[in-house]
Amino acid sequence: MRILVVEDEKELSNSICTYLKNDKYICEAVYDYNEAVFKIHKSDYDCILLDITLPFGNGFEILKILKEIGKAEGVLIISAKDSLNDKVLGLNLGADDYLTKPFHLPELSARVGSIIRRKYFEGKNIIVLGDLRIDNDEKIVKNGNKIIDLTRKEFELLLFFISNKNKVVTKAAIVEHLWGDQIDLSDNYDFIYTHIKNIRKKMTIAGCMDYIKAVHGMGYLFNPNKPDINTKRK
Amino acid sequence: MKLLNKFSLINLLLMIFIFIVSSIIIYNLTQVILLREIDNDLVGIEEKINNYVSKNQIFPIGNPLDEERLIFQKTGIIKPNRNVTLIKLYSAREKKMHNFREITFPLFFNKQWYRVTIAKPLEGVHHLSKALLIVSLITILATILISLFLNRLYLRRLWQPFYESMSIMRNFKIGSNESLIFPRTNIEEFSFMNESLSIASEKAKQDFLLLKEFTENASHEMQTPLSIIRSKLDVLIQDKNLSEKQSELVQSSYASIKKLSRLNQSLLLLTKIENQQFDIKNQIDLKAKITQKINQFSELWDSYLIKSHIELNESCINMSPELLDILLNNLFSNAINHNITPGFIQIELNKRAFIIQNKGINDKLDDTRLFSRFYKASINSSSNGLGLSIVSQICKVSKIDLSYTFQSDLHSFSLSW
Repeated sequence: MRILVVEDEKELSNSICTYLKNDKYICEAVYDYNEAVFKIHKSDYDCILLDITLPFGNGFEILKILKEIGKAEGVLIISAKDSLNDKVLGLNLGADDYLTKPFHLPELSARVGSIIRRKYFEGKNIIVLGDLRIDNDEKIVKNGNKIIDLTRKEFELLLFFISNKNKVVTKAAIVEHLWGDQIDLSDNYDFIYTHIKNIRKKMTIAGCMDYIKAVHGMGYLFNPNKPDINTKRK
Repeated sequence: MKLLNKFSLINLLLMIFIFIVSSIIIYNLTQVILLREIDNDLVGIEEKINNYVSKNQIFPIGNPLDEERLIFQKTGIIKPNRNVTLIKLYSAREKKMHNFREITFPLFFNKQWYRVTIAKPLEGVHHLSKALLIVSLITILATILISLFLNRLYLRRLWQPFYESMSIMRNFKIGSNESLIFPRTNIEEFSFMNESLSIASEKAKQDFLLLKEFTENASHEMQTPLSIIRSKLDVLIQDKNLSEKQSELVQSSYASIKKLSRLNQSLLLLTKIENQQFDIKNQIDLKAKITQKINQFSELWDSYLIKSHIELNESCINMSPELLDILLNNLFSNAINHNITPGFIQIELNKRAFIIQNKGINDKLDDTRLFSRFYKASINSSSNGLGLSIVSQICKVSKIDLSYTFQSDLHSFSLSW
């Protein structure tokens, strides 16, 4: 999967690329409007991360060009402007999603994953992970033939983990993903533990390995390749 | 008081004054003029009598049909004085005492002096001046009433462009792109006023755009470095060799970044609300909206061991949907953040009121400062002190009454509209 990162802040762009780069994603970074226009004419991408304010132009113009040359790349707008007008304008011009800065990289990764899934698994939005089958349309998780009965939030949480495989995600990122950034909760995120505990329990009952590992009380790591045998809980 | 009414009142008082003064003057003036007329008549009669006597050598006899009274009195060698006076005599016709004008003059006849007295009743003068007074009073009164009425009619029409301009100004929204169009008028003062209003509103619009641009840019400039720091931390924690000690340091950095970015967002939001950038209003089904919010939050309540009591009735509100969402998020978050464990939240929705109550510290909050910016109930509070300020600001622009009470261990925020 090729991802084009159009972001004029080099440092932010570097972080995004470092975080997203793995066996599945290849990132290319451009830092201004002209470079971005050149790249989208030259090659095809699976997803474009697009900043609105760019040197020599703006992101909305790039969306228009994409439409004109008939490219159906998934576009995620990343903008510092938290304005409804910009959101509506961007989505009307063909963007798939809108993320306001400052965001958590796991959140970005989850949004990118969702855009790519929507693009490539039209009609069949199913993620297979070992024995785990996650049907994103029906919101059903199966381990082999056994249905794991998750609540809506638990399902979203599992999907969030899968989008950030092998990555440490903080509790704050989880809370913001599940409840949105508009909800202003104090810094006590201990209640997340209850949700994690429930998912683990339900997955274990269905005969699934425990893939979720707590990291220094700071966050969690979902590693389907190395299930955590001696679970450390903090 | 309306200018028109004030003007009418002054006008009326002035007219009444003129009315009184002019009636006094008219009355006195007609009296003087008529009296002079009578005096002339009397002098005429005097001449006639003098001529008659010198011609006929005999005193004339008063005609009983005449109103004048004629008396000849012999004074001998003494020449009587000539004078004109006002006297009261019995009038046979009216059968009461009446004012008469009397002239006495000397007459030399048969080598003797006579005093001749002619008296003429003033009855006619009196009646005439009264009649004249009434006629002129009616005329003046009619003039005053008609002019007052016409004034009101004309002034209202003359002021019409002023009221039109004012209603245009009242509907002026600083955030809108439309230019103000004032009605054309050939009255110099009003066209001057319209011109000034156009210039002022254009200037305000430009300043507003600059300010809007500035706040958005400032926020953008702040958010970018914050994004960079946060992304670097997100990358940093992926390091497998990170020690527990380092993790703690990273965690407190995360918390501070979150606080800073929320602070920035809140201040930006407050500016936006104050600038009335959320002016699209819709009729919203509040019961559905609150039910949706409760679903969103109920899992959180369970996690925090907060019990809830909910009573929802049908209700509608006309406000910006964006602001309503922020308002409810802030009130709901607030009720969680300041709760105790095990806690309690009570939500009540009536036709025109919404009440959210929560358990918390066992003391009334300072309701004079509660809604002001950066107010914190305790020093350790992790909130930025802007949440309730945003709530209050949203209520203000949406014309909702907001009040806080503390009763039977419950902190209660009630909204009514």
